[in-house]
Amino acid sequence: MKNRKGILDKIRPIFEEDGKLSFFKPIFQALDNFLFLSPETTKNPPFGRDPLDVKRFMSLVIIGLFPCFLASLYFFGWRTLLILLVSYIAGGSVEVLFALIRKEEINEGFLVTGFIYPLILPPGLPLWMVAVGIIFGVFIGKEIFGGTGRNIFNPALIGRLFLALGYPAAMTATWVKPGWLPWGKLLSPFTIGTPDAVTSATPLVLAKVGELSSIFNLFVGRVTGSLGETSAIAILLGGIFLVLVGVASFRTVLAILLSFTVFNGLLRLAAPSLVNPVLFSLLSGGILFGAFFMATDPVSSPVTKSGKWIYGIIIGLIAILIRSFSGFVEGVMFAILFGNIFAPIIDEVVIRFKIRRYAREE
Amino acid sequence: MKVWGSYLPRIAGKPSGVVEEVAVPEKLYINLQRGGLIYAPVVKNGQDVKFGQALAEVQVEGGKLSLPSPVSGKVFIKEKEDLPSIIIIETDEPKAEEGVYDTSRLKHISREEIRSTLSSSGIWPFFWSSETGGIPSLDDERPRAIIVNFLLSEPFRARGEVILKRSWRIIMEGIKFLDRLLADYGTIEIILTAPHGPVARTIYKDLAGFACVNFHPVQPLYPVENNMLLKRMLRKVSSSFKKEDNVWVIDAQGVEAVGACLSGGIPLYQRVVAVGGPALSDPKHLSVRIGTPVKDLLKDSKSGDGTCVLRGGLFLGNPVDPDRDYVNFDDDAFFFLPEVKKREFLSFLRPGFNRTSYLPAFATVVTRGDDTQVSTSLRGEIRPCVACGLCESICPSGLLPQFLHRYLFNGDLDDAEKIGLNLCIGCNLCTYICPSKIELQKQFALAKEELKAEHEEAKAILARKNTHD
Repeated sequence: MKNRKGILDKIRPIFEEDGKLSFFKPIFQALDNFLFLSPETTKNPPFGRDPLDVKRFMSLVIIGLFPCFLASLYFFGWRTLLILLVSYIAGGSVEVLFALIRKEEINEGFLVTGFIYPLILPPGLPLWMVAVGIIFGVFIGKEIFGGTGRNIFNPALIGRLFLALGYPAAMTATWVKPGWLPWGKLLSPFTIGTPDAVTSATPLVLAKVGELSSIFNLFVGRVTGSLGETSAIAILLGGIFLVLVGVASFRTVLAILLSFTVFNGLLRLAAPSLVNPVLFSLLSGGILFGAFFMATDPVSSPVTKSGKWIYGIIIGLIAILIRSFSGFVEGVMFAILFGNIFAPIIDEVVIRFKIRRYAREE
Repeated sequence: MKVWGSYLPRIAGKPSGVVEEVAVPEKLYINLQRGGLIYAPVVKNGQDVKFGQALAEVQVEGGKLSLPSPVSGKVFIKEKEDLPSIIIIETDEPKAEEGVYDTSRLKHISREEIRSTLSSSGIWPFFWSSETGGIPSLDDERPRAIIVNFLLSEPFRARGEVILKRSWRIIMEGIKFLDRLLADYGTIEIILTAPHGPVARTIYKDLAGFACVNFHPVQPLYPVENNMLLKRMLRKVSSSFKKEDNVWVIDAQGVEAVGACLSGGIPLYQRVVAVGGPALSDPKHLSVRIGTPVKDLLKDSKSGDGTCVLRGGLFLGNPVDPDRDYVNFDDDAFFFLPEVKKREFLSFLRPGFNRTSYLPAFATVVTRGDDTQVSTSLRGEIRPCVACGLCESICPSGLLPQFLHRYLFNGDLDDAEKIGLNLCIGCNLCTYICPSKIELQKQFALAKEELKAEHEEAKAILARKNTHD
């Protein structure tokens, strides 16, 4: 360990204020901080601190996403890995560029955005589109708002939204049939180009024409769909882990799923021909993935505890309304972005109520 | 009674219930600053003083407070330029402590006499009054209730149960005297963990006929011992308490001192301090003479080099220099925090068998281990707020620290005041858990001062205007 640290300490002066490469200090710092615990000590009470830091927080999200990532490798093959690499490299460059210009430290938040974004894309999407989407998402969705912690929208969803509006054909017709054999698609060759067997038939599209996929396939994930969101069991594994360690707010998750289920049930009673059965709706499309991983992004969701309930209810309702009564078969992305729009005002309302209580106590 | 939020991390180095006596050193050092007041010496250089004789005094509203000498000996006054001076006492041959106040008229002691005895014996400052927000005035201030708090949850302050076990009889005597300070129909409210346990039953039996005593169960989570919080909790459990009612708070050692003084005539001369923390090999309670150098507390137990000694607990304590600091009249804890030496490799990926967090994000959730790794390290990089909401869920006042931070960050003091900045009790919990390592408490404290100054200015302007009219 001494050697590893020795090298870093040796080259450190080059990146300091008047070193030759001082412009690249954020990159050096990111590497240094990634490998070793921050040397910073406490200057104010409390003089001891909780061991949880943002890095740990973000790495727990990555662990939570891992079951989905593994499921997508299994069902859609090694191309998933390629898409992930493209996302990290393209989006990471934007992040680093902004850190260099701002002379700020590189934040860990991007590691999550860059990991989540590939999982909500169709498996057959051309790689350049993957890159365009994440660059747009990080740039417009995050950096121009001021970087980590200041964005209003979920950057990964902004990236996907851009693709959905800019390349609607590619985004709706590059689905890939999942691997059926016991080894999934793990043995299929690595394809850089768009795979041959593309289709436009996701379970939700099929449902519009009255063909319901089997619940078992939906649960395991053996259906067409975005890379990480087909396998309900993988999502539940990772998602429940995130809720248990307290990184994802159980309030948001519960509120979305409950509101989605209840409104789905009510609407089905009212218009059985337009609305899918509840269990099918829950397991298909991105509702589970969205509820556990996308809507729980702390920055773009309301900050207050009670606000998260309201936020979740809005998302669940809008998701089922778009799915059932609009031209789109899937509405989770729009619903979450809608929720993001409402988040600040929800907080504002919650604060109004709190102020009244404070006035009584003071 | 329930507190919002609140938390108690499992930190390694919890002091055992043993109380060891520390020998009286040859020289005692008396700090003339106590609780924000600066006492003026009333003894001369080279003068002989007796046990309990006043060393220094300060005038306060309605009377004066004194610091009694904890030993008999010879006095030297060490002047310091910018700091309050220190009185050094060379101790005589140690003798058994005997009462210095006349206790023969105990049964008839008047309220005024109780007050003057407690203020000349150094015990009065142990009371906290909600009316003054500090030491109660020596005028005829009479509280609606006195809260006797046996819970000091902050890691690691001298535990009430240890004090209670050590001097049960004296504490009971003390509570009986508290009753005489109350307003008519006032009550004694006792804060314990188990209101129906044997301890509470015995207290009840011992006090029967002397005082109207109520018991309140509280979970031993930090910061239940906060005075303002205790008063707020009382209002929540009993609707008969009004916002403007005057409530006093005193802790176990305070009542013990009251009992010893009024029933035995003994002034304040020693403290039980808890020494604990990960840097200490043998954490325990110590009974020490006031004025003992901090380094004497460590004689028998090893603490490694590079230890930061905090006066008080982990959350509120400030570093002291063991060679140049002494046990004060109000001390009840010293926390030994290791100084960080090396930077851990890939620390955020470790399972965490030796660290505990507010979030169940480390392996100690399963193993129930202690946090042995707490140190002076910030344990992470400073980052912008990611709105994780942990501070909101931990805040014992039910505030929204993340919004206070946002408003103050934008320089919006008015909005910060609106969302309850003044309700912040300064417990430091939000700063402790913040994963972005933001110095929330510092920001809030500065803002509170600024706000206070603004209000005073406004008042002054208003007053001037009124006189003009």
